[in-house]
Amino acid sequence: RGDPAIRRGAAGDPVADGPRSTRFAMKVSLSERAYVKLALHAAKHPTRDALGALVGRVKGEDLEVTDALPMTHTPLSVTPTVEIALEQFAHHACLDGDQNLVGLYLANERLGNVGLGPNVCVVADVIRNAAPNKNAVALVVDAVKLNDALDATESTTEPKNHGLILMRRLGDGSTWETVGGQSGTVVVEPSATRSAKALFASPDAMRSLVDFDDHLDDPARDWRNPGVDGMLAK
Amino acid sequence: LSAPLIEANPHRDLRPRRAAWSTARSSRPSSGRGMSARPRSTLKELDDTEEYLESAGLAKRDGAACRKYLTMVEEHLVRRPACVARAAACVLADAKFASKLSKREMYQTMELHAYASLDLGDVATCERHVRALESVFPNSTRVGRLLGCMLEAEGGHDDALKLYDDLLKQNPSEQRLMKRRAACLKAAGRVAEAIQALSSYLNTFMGDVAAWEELALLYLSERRFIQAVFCWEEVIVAQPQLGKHHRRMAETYYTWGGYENLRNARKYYAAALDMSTASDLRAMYGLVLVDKKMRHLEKTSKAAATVKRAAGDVAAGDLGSELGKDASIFLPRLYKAACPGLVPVVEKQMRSAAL
Repeated sequence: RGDPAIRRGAAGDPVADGPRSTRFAMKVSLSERAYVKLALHAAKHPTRDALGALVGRVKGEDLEVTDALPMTHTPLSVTPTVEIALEQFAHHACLDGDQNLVGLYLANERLGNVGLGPNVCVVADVIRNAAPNKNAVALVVDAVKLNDALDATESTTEPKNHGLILMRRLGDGSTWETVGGQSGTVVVEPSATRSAKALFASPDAMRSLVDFDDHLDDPARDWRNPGVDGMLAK
Repeated sequence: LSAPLIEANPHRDLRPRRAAWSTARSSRPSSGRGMSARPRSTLKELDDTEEYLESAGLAKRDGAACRKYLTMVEEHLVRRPACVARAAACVLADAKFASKLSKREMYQTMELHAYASLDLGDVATCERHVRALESVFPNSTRVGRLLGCMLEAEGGHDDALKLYDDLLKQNPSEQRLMKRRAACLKAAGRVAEAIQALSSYLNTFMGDVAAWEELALLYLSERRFIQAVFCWEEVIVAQPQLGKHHRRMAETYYTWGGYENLRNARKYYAAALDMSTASDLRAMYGLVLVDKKMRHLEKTSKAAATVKRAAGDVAAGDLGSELGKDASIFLPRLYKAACPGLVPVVEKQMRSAAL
């Protein structure tokens, strides 16, 4: 009852408005599967916007992301694809170990563009409103930094956030903003960068990565990417 | 009378197009064929050759296969930078093989290599080829376009625009240059100016279907739905047999929203489904979504309810109102046949859509 982390409204009941960032730094931990799929999707469509959802669990202030589901590589100006994709992803997350959609990732078309466009903000808001405790993040892939992150070995210092930019929206009144180092970090499973590099080298991995757009072109291709999971297991 | 009349129309593009839209390169050079637009190979051949090259061909430097691959890429105007760059490097590096190429083929290969290396971020190789081509073709707009692309790749969009404007002053009716200029504005993030440039181009050259598509997408990115619908109409009038255009028109109406627009969306989704003989997954999902939204609007919005009553759906036996339900029954069956692992997810979604 006296926990300062829970924001209280006028009646004294907790207000679900999202996590408070000012006092507690949030940690987003990506599993190997999530990071590799995210990176592969971004690399497969270098000249387009690659968008996808993150599946995982909310643990207080922190997020544990277990999987990344690639969504689209077409411009986000019409909504049907994204609507269907988000619904199906949410159902899949629920069926797969009672998880939720905890965010999205985005790799922009133009190099150096590390912001969320207006349409992407709308999608991010939809995910945030549906996430437990409205705790959701947007990870923007910074292509240059991702390159550095994949080339870094254990001996050199870890590049900040593994080439991803963490963005959050604090409270319903504000907008999506970048989270600085003090307030949030992205942690990735140790074997992830190695696996990502190995899979980048093989053309099969990139060709076998399926996103929801590819699935709509050919329903036999599964957007859960069991093929990539299999490659990682090896 | 041996050739069918269709081939005589240069604006009628019969080449099979993949779902990928090439955004910033709407004015790729063609091999100067002009009137006869029928390709001499299929996309499947291209994909097979690419697979062969990636797996074994490039490793053993199979020049003949590389050459064939590059000719097919030139024909179909696809954008495969990784493989094209390696194939072109293989062809040009081998001096013995390079001597067997005709001059035209050699310059074409250099041009392809330049564009591919720009896509991969390798501006140095592109510059090398540009200088070589400039010396051979001094006042060419084709080389000028390549040079402009190179400037854009380095981030110098203003320099590129100045170059395009200069070239356009000397060659005012150069279509590809106009489109390249609009693409440059789009790449620089100046979407409003890109729209203006492309519309003034289309004012003169109204038969260019790909340009109408590109303009529609630009309008959509600015949420200007009325103009986007106008552009899609032009595209549909030019190529009425392609279900893809009807489906994209439907998506535009759906995103626009509002009861009347949803009715139009349903019409176009139905047309797309019909043309694809029930294989267009997007159209099926679209019908489910439209149905769900329309039912929601009928319940919540008085205006929508009156429109529905006025339209007399039930009395006129409007078959369209059943489409959403039919699609939601058909989809799980389709998934059972195609991808059984996803059936639980799809069924759950269809149940929630029916609520």
